[in-house]
Amino acid sequence: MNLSLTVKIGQIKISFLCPSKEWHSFIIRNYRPFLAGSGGSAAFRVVIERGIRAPALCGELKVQRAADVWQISRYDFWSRSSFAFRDTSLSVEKNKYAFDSWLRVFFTLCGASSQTLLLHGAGYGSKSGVFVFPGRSGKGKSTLIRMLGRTGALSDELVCVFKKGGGFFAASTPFWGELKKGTRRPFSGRIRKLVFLEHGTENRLDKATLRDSVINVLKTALFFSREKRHVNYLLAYAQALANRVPPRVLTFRKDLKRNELLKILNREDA
Amino acid sequence: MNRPVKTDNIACRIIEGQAFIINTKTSTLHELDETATFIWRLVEKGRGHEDIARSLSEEFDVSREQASKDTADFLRELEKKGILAASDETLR
Repeated sequence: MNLSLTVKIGQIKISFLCPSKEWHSFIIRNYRPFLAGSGGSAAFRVVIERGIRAPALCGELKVQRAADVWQISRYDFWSRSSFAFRDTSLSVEKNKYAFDSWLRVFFTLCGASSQTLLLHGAGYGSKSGVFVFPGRSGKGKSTLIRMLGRTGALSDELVCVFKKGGGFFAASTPFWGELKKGTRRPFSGRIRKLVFLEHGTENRLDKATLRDSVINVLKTALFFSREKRHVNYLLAYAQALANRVPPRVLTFRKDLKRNELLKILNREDA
Repeated sequence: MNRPVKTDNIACRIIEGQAFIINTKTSTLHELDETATFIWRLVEKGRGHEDIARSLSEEFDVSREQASKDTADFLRELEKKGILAASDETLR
């Protein structure tokens, strides 16, 4: 039995070599919509080890580089990757929480060399493009996705943003927040607007400045590397994203109706 | 005051005329205003305190004394935030 499979999020393909049929089924069960066909090769290869190897498992999440080896560790996982994350060896508890947490961190590190960023934010795709709503907890991401409906939602927690052919796109992720059930059919689309959220007593969409957009993108980017080249990349990416995608601020009341919300978001002058 | 030197922990980018500096050690984002960005650009060019104060005085039409004090205060602030290496003066 072939125990390898590939998970694709946005444009990033990560292949996993599982140590057992149970592990293989575990990944299929939890990441089914994101499994890529066997064609093509994954840029990032992960070998999952049998059992937990615990040389330095510690309570807190740690992302460290020593010479040319990257190490990601927490009390329930530990991985070692080559300098560009192409080859990784992973020890992790076989539960969704541990694996998902590790994958989020690993994905951001892969993204730093693949024009990809994970943003704390919700995303919603319509015929006219994708609206990305960056925002930390409590900003109303899940509320907004509940209003818009899950069919066109990319996520209510973490959205994958990537650059392709000079444009910026957003893609579904398996990483969901309050609306735990997740994505049935992943998709991606060109980002039409970056919409920052504010609760208010009225419903309106205002233009935001480029400065506000850069700050919000930096504040909502999920980023674990402290490597200078990666942080420089993050700054350049935030600037390019803010330059290319119109930034807006959506102030909304919780009783706003879906059609009204879509009308506000789609308004061409805002 | 010695020539200010950036620490190894920072990443910086000027966006729309404003410097955005991230201290990678503390994961802190610092946003500089117009005057601070003006000084920062000179720091990046390797200019010394007196040289920066002179340029600041000319550019913003303030007295040399005031410019010197403002420059010193700002550089000290950047040292405290781990953006510049501690100068001999601070260490004393």
